[in-house]
Amino acid sequence: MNDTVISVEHLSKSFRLGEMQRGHTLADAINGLLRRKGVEEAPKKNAEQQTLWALKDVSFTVNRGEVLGIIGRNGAGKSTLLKILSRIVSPTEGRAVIEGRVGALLEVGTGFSGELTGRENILLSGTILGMSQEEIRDKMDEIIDFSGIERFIDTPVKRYSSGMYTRLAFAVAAHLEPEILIVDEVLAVGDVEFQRKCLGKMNAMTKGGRTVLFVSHNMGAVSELCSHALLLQRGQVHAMGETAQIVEEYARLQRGGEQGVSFDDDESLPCSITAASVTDTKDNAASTFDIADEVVLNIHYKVRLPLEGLQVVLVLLRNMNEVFCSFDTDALDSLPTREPGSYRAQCRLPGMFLKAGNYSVRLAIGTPDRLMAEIESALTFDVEELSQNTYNKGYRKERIGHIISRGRWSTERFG
Amino acid sequence: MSQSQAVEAVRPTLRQIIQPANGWRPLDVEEMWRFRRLLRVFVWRDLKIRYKQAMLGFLWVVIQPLALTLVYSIFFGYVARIPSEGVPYPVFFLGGMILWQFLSLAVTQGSVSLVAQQQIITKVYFPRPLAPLTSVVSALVDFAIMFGLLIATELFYGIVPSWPMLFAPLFAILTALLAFAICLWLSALDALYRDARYALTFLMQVWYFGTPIIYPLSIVPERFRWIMTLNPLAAAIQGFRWSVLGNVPPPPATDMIVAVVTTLVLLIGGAMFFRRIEQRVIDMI
Repeated sequence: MNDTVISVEHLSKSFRLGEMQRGHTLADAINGLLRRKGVEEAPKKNAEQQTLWALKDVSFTVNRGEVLGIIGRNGAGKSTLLKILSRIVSPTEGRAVIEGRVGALLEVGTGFSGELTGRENILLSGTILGMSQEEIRDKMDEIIDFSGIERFIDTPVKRYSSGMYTRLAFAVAAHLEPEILIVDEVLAVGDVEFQRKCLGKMNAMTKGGRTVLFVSHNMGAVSELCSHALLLQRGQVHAMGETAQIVEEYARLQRGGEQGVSFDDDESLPCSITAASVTDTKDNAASTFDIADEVVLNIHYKVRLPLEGLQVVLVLLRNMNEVFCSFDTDALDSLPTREPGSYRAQCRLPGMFLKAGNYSVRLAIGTPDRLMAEIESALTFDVEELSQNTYNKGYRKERIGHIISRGRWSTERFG
Repeated sequence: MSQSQAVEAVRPTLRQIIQPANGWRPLDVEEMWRFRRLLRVFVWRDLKIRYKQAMLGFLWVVIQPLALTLVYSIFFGYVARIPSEGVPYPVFFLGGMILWQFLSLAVTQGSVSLVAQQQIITKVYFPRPLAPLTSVVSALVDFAIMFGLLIATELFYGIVPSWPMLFAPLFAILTALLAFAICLWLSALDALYRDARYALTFLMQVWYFGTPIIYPLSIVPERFRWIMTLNPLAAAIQGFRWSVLGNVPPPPATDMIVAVVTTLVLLIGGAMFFRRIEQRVIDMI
């Protein structure tokens, strides 16, 4: 059986940045309109740059029964691709033809409602994910059994611990049996034992001749489950083939490709951010740091006119949550004037400051009254707990909070 | 697993073509029909959540209109002596109010439905018009219960509905279509600009008083009659009262025609607007 079930032809997806950033009230829209009017004389090139191509001319085919791993760095377009194939967003250009029923698992517990009991949520989530009522009824006991929380199955889900919630959500997802399954990184949560169980279930599913598209950062899981892999890089297909080969290529990219990113330079602006990179203290490019390591962020920018009060803005996000905002001028008493030229600004983040997690950096440049450029997710890096066991530490990755503050604790005994 | 595979083998393979969705597209009714089970589950969830937290639960569907009827009957029926087409004021009021209550519940929930459902909409595909439709259908369930209450009240006052009663569902359907049309417009607008939800409360208030609910159509002065003709809900309510209350005259034919045409125009326009906006909304949220 070597027939094609998914064929993707020249698929592209663009987002208009202005659109995404526009506010949510009519007043904002009117403001936006006025502002656009004001800069109408600016070259049309500007509008082009506001368009972000999340996917660009992606083509590939998947055969029946194939398990395809989709890998790539954050922002490479993996999620966008899955969302298009599961019809959540529509493409800007190109098309995809899919033969068969598609089931998509893009998050854990899609459609779960806190007010409803576990049993009710199985019905709800199952239906939303595309199971028929009969299918759910037939599998109800199996799902409850798999989740391992029979005792609480008639309790509203809002009273569940997050572990219980995840188990139940997984149990529903694991029993979804469409002809084509699309899975996004869902195996990244839950405890190890339960993850094993899910991997086992997925393995069984793929042995059953099902076609699976599997997105993950976990190369172990990809190697174990997938026969083929597709490597995306900046919205384009970088490589596709045997899993082992592609995983190796990905690792190579991760090591070598970290020389930093450069951005399109818009000559019409008085200044622009031209490049940025993440390095260690010895100026070596890096993307993964230990929590004790110092992280260095380098921002290159170009100034074309003397600019009074020019500031570089850095916003750090951890797992998509904004942690802090910092200006290059924060330590100065008055704002400097930057003469035309090329600059490099460096921001050092000390060790034992950022908790383990996925970080991304939003960069912007401008004067106090005018924002000149803004780059979402300009840089990304990971911090991991490599050098120490944080099992009994307050700053363990999974606990609340984003930064490590060991404070100055002291305890004295009296009485 | 083998069982479900057998089921799938019988089912013809579904071929889906995914391509850019641009321009004005009509409502894909056939696709919505294929997702009817999901609609049923959405409605079930809506009702369940709405009444689960309340101790009296579903009883509120009955208590609320009863309490309103009592208050309005005292002030407008008894104190202000507003005429009520020859039927006791409580019955008269209830006969119009339950349709309004239905529309108002559907619209207030439906107009925020796209935003309220964004968690699901960005993770799973289903025809998005199901979100506002869910609000209309779940409000319809409340309406059915209130309808029972209306009949009981009529019988209590010794009014026995006769053959026009058969037409009552038609007026309810007209109101439901009108509600759905408004929900399509507002939910898409609300997702773009949250202003929609702030304006809504005020507009509903105006609409409430601009519709013959607490007063009969017959006392509207001639020079304001045109407002009633333009208000599709006025015709629906008048027709509904005619069908269930006996005594009440039917709405003028022109009003009825205008109401049906307006509703259909709003519905088709709303569907097209919604379909045009939905993709942009999803890219935004």
